[in-house]
Amino acid sequence: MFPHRKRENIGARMLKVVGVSLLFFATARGDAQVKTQPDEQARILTLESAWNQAVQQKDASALKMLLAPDLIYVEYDGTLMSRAQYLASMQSPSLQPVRIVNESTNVRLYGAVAVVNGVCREDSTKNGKPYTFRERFTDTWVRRGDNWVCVASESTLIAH
Amino acid sequence: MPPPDRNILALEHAWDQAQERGDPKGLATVFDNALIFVDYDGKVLTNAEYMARVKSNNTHMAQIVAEQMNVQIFGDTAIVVGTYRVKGVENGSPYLRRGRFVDTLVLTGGHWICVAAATTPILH
Repeated sequence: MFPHRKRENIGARMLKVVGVSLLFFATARGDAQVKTQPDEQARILTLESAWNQAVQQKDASALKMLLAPDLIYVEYDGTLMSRAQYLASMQSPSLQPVRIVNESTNVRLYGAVAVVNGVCREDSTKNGKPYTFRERFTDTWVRRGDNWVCVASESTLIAH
Repeated sequence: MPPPDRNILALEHAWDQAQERGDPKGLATVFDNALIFVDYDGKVLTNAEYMARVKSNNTHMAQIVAEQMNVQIFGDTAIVVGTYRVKGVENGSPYLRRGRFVDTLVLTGGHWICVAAATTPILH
């Protein structure tokens, strides 16, 4: 199993935690005002980028801020994981993510629910062997207080 | 009034039956117009494309069995995760697929509507 959205960057762990915290502050500070739909869509996409950033640095603390404790996560091979299992899977030392890019994203808002569909390309190595795949993901975010958290994520390999 | 998870499971079973019958009529009120469906091979279908496919039943799904389903409610959002097994014939060749799906439903006007659905083959 190749856990997705994983990259390695040992050097900047503390910087990343601070960065994600600041991101949360920055995205939440305008909640006293009326947010427009484009504002919220941009906010969700920022959180998606933060997720990729946190994964590439294997930062469980940052990911815990983005992912609901009761997250439902389905890996590209059909494996069902809880948040704890997902966080544990990304710590595998044999996995060396090199590059993860969201090639496309689309956000749909339903009040306090946001659904993101997108395509992610991952270049990594597993046990020293390089691999590349593209997967289509569906993430569901819900607003909890001033923040959005992801409650469900599913990935499917693109076979065509 | 039945609990929401029972309503949602009933909706999911009706969905399976509609696919087997190739009759999407009952699904029209269940799917959001902006529904995005991600198929097991990563193809994306809009609501209209998905409904057309159910109607044509061009994958000739003879039997769909939901092996397990679990509903998790997050306020006005429900996430259904489950596994299924489907038998059919495609391009003259029989197939048997097993996959895991995640459906996202939103409570709107007292009704649950599906806004996103995705399936992933179980490879292990």
